[in-house]
Amino acid sequence: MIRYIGKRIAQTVIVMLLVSFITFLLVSVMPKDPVYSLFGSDVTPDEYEVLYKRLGLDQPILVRYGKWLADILRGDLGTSYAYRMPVGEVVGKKIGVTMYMSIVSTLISFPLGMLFGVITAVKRGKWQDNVFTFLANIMGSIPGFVIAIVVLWVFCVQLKWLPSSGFAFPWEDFGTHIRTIIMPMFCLVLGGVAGVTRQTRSSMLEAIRQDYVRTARSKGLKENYIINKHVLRNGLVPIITLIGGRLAMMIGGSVFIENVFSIPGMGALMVNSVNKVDVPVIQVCVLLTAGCISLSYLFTDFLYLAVDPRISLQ
Amino acid sequence: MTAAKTYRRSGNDRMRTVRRFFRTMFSRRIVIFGFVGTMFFVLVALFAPLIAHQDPNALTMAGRLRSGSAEHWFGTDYIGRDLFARVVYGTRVSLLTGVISVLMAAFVGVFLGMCAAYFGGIVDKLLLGYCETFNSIPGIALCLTLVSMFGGGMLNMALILCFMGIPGFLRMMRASSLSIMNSDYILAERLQGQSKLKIMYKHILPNAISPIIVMSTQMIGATVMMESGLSFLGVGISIPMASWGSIISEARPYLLTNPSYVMIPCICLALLIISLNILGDGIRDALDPALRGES
Amino acid sequence: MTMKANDLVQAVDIRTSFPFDKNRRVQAVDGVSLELKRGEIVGLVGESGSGKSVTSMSILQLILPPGKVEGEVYVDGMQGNMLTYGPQSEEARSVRGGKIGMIFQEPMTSLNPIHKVGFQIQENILTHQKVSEEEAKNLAIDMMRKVGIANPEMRYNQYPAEFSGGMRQRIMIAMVLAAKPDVLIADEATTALDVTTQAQILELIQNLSKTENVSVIIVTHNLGLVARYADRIYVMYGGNIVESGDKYTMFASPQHPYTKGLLAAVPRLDDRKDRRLVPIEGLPPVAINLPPYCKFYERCKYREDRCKEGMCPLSDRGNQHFVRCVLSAEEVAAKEKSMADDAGSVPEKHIGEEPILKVENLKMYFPIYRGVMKRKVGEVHAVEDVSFVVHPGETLGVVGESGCGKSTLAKCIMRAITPVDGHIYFKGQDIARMKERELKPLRSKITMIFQDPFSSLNPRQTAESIVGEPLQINHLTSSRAEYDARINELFELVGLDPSFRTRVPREFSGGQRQRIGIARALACNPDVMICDEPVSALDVSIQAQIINLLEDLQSSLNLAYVFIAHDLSVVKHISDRILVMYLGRVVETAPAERLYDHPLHPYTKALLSAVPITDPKADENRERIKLSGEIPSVLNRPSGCPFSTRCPYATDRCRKEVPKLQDYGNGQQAACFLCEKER
Repeated sequence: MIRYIGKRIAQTVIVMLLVSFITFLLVSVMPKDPVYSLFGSDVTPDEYEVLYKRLGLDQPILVRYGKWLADILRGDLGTSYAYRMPVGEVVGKKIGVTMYMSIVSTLISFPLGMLFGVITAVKRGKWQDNVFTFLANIMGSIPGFVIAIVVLWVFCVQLKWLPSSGFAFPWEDFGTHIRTIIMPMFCLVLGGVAGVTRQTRSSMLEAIRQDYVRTARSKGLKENYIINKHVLRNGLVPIITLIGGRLAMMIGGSVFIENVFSIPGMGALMVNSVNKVDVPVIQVCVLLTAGCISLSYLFTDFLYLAVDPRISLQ
Repeated sequence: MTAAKTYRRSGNDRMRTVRRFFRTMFSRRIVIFGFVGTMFFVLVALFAPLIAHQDPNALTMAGRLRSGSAEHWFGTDYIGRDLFARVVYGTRVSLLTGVISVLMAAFVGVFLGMCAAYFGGIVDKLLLGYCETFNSIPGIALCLTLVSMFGGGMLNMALILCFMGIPGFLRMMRASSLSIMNSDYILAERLQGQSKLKIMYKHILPNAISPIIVMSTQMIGATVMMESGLSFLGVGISIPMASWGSIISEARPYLLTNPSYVMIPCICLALLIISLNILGDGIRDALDPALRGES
Repeated sequence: MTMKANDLVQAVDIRTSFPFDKNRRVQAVDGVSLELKRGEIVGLVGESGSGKSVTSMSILQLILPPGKVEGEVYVDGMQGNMLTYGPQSEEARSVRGGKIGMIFQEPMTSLNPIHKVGFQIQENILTHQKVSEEEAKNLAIDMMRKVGIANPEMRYNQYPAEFSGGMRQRIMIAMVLAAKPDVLIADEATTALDVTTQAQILELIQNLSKTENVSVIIVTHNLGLVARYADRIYVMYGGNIVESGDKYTMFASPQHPYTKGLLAAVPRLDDRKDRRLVPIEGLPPVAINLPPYCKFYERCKYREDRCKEGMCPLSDRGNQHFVRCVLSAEEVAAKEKSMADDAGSVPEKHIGEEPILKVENLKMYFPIYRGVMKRKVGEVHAVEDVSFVVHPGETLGVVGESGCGKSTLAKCIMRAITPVDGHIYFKGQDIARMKERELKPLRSKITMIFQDPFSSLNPRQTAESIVGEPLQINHLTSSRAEYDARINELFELVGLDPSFRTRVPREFSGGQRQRIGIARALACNPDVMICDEPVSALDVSIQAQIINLLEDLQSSLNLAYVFIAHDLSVVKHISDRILVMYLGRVVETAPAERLYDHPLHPYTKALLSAVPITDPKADENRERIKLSGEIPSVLNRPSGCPFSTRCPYATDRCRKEVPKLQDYGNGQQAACFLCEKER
């Protein structure tokens, strides 16, 4: 088992190295000249030579990658082209906002989605199944930003209950936090719940079909007990592994949601940076989100290890 | 005489298979809705010039932000273009980008997946590493990065979305190829001295393709969603070309004053993706009855 | 309706159906009545699709909607018809597990992998007995000891994944018996297990039924098992019971044409060498639109028009022997006599002098890798030092249980894998390490028939293309007409209608698919055919057709067969010589007759005695060697004789040294120190 954990950690490190290399490559193939981008277009050719050397751009790509990686690991994330200030300062709080939203919405949508998934699977073919499955299919098919616009229109434009924009962390201003977070969180959670419901339903139906459920029935156990003891855990364990993937989707989804509700998160920053071709910022955003997702994959695998005896036996 | 007879019987069998396919597919009523909806949008996309006789990019005489009238069914947009025409032509962009990118992704993914299964060893490891790596980057972040590198526009969008879809197809193709490679009929082929390459395309490819078809139909909806999202963020399909995402993006400031301007493309987008997904589920059910209604 | 005294369970006119499509239902069980007395072991036999498993599940109300069960079930100690209570009722649940326990076929999936086995046993006790959790645990451990699980206190806390298939089936038995039921239903409980393990489990059930005072229903397709272990037998066909009675009466004078047919279709260990099997023609019925008369009519040799007048009832032929047939025993006997016995004996063989295939000291090891860097940490010795010869026109049988290396041996000969060491001479040429390019012309001369007729044919290829592919690969036909003619010839050779050429495998039955597989193997006029369990996936009535086909083809084409199977009766029937393998080594080889009459190696003896004969009287007189323990994993093979861990006669020498094959005359060789001493 220790060998397995070691192997998974090694895998994660390798993946992260690959991600970092790819994001680094982006800079090298970018059509934009880093010297002009950083120091303005009024740099003279002589100054250009000096700055070019100072940035280390004359060195081979692998050396530059090594330096860049070392810098990143030391906490020096580079300098933004657009803002002419350290990327760390530009990105810092904004990525916090996005990660906060994504993680909280993932944590909310999993229990809810699992609950609905279990209901639909246990009541298969009954009205509960039909209604929830239908809703999950529809909600899973509507793009998040469309839902967000509709929600915005209803609660902000028509009912005027909630502010249309803004964001505050709960530890800064709890009241504002609640008021600003309800709509975006609702939109994120809606999509998440729909997805988790569908996945849980299929996993549960798979578990119900198993031979050991027939064995449990042949023992004369009560149907509710069979569901609790023999179906639920077997059906829900595989769902745990999907947390990592769902978090990745939530980060993607929050980019749109932030845009609609004008939340100063990574989404707005990235769109801005793309339009301004602010490569170092994009780089760091990709690297950090990929890091979070890899860690959550790792975490869910270890969680799986804890709940399923079969894996620890191998 | 005998040959003709055999041929006819077997023709009937094929017909029966096709009919069974459609019967299973439409056995859930809702699939009919998905089929009709999809066909509707496909027809709209195909016959856009016949349906909308206005130029989607030309300014009209009616002025800006008008509500619906006999002349302009959906009204006009923020600079006075005919919204109906823009939505109709937008169907083309959304569907075309979705279908083209998924087809390309499926093609490349199937090829690479077969390579991974065929060569194994280091090729397999590299391709899997590639999948693993791109699995760890949120799709939207990758898309934004790629757009920042190559710029927007329909062709670039299709290429970028295709690139995003490849890992999924690669993994699926690799897995199904490997499982088929372990079956007895492939061993039988090898023992007859059949060449490995021929086994790949003559025996493994046709048998591994049906999950790919299912995956493609389900990917089209997701890709249309992604394209409209990027256009909505203003980094996708470039102005003045009309895409539903970009129309929604243009219309958003007028949500307070002119809600139907925003809602019409939103509803179209939602209907198209819902129809595509329902149809995809129907096709999956028909191709694999064992999975029926399980997800 | 009341129950007869002494009866534990009585099922009356059970009818179970499942929806097929909107209008039609599959009638899986069509009016089955059976009864079970206290202390009795009853066998419920039938081929796949006969409704035997559905019957037992119907009695327990384990059929889920949309399946539907009608009829009456009475259980001793319960009031009235159990079926009227509904499957979820208090009453039905107290019968399930409490009165009637059931063991299922797949030991690997029948236990919940995420719960400890102890919990799963305890759960059953707590549901049906008023005891505390502590007492339940003690009862469970007690029961685990009774079913032969060593160190039950420790194993109580283990998960199913830590048990082998045989051990899991023991856990299932412990689980069922721990709740002190009156009846145990074993639904194909040993089908997935090895022959010697199967014997162990059934003997365990037989003993426990006496000590625990439990009646048993053995549901199986294997006639031999019921002949040995059951007291009374029900034979099922197409959802009906066609014959029932005491096992001695029934095997001595089977009366229903189907029972007669089955007995004539299965090979027996004590067959004379030239006995030819009599297959039942046709296919088992499909349970949609069943005729309202005898289901066996279509396949019956003795059918008459009056058979179609309606479903005939079970009639008492005396001595509690019931038969569902319009014709009386005398009428059938008369008809049998009038029909010339066309089965005859097996066609003559012409065994050549010069060996066509010669294997010498063949070794095949598979490396085991561990860790991130894939270090090689050991080897699995799948085939260890195997030698034999095969002559043209001869059949060499290879038997052994799982892990004995028989399939690896086949793959080595076919050169699907390259052996580590040793030689394989085909017509004098060593092919053991030949390159693929040199091998290609020889590939068409050594061909293979596979076990699974479903997975060995490409589902998207037409039958014609499957059979014709070897011809195209080897460019054996020069024109389309020649190709067509050869395909037709091959189809006719294996007994398939050439007009089926354009069909795909899905449109054929299991037996027909196996014929396509044989036609493919025959396409290039091979000299040697490796048959890897070619009949074990088929129903017994179809098995006989394929075995006869193989025998005919051998005599007309002078083929040499290497026939690999786990079923000793089949191997003995078809083979001239037999190779017995255990954990990668040959432990004994002898002519088929000699091996049965005079086995030398203790493993051969055990294997022979684990296989019952479909004649209870003859079976009881045979010498029985019972084995303890299980086949060791190939990963930790014993250091001395591979069989030393299970051999009842093993000495210290056996545990240290590996015995060599010694010649004992009459073409018999065995690898055992014991036999050496006796000589």
